[in-house]
Amino acid sequence: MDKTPEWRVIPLEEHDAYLNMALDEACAQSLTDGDANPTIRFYRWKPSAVSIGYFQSMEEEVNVEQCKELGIDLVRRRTGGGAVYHDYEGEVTYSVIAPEQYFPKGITESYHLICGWITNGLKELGLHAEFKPINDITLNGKKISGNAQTRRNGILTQHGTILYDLDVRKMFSVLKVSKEKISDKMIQSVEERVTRILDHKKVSREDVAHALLKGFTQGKFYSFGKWSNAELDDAHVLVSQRYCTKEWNWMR
Amino acid sequence: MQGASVLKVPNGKLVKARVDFVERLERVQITGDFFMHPEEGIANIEQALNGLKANSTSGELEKAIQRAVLLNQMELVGVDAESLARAVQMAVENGRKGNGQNP
Repeated sequence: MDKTPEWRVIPLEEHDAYLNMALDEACAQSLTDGDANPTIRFYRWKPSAVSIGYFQSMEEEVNVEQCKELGIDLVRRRTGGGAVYHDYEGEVTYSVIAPEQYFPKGITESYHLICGWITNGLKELGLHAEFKPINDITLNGKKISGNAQTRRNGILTQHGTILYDLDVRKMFSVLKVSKEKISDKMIQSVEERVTRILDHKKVSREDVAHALLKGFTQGKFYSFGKWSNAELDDAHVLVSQRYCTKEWNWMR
Repeated sequence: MQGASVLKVPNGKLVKARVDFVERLERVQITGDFFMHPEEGIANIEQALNGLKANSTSGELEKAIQRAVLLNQMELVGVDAESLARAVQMAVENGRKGNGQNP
């Protein structure tokens, strides 16, 4: 097996939650069909959105009314893991979509490998973060990145977020926690567990994107690319038939 | 009867179970922030539990889950068959307590 494929890198783009998730799936399908190169993409969520893990209940995890009021989209991911508030200003998201033989067979080992690309990127900013199994990255013991992986038809998809400037109070207004937990005490305790790039280094989002790009592509053959028309078509079908539907988003 | 439970898997994720049952489990739903793939296999696990006796031991539930996992070639991360079984059994116990029908 050729271990040095040419990677397609899709630089920071902005889409809504449904298209973001559909593009990951369309890209994986394209790889399954042999029509695409292994892909690394960076993106933001516009408008801000909440994604929940495949196995989560929308009603249990999300303050749906509050999201409606704030114009925050809701989407179920096809990966497991927890509910995430994707603030438009607050984070950078990535996906890695590639044949699974490019990665260690073990799930933890493959998380470790890809999370290493993130920690390499953060190192470019002078931040020394570390992989924390199962699927987190921490900086000074606080979570700065969450990640989720799945494998299907021989293709590995891993996506995750790197916190840049998260509004913790807003996060708590959209993710469901009991009222008493939205006390200052709780926010303080979460702030003790979660950290953001801007807490450590005054850098622009462009600097972050550039550093991550460097971390992800170190030692790889790659070129900047874009979505094929077929991928875009497939993604739009997936949006209307899956990611935008009540049947999918309220499945559990 | 209905019951629900929440279980934190040691060194793993959170599992929540909801069950409808009388003599047997009629509807089992498992949610949480764990990982398993193929993801659709969760429906096969739930299906494998439906129809089992509500007073099945955790070990009996685990066997049924393990069979579904093998049959669907599923990989579980942050959760295992034993924890899923315990969550379902706890949900039944909680359902009985809630209805004042402790065994």
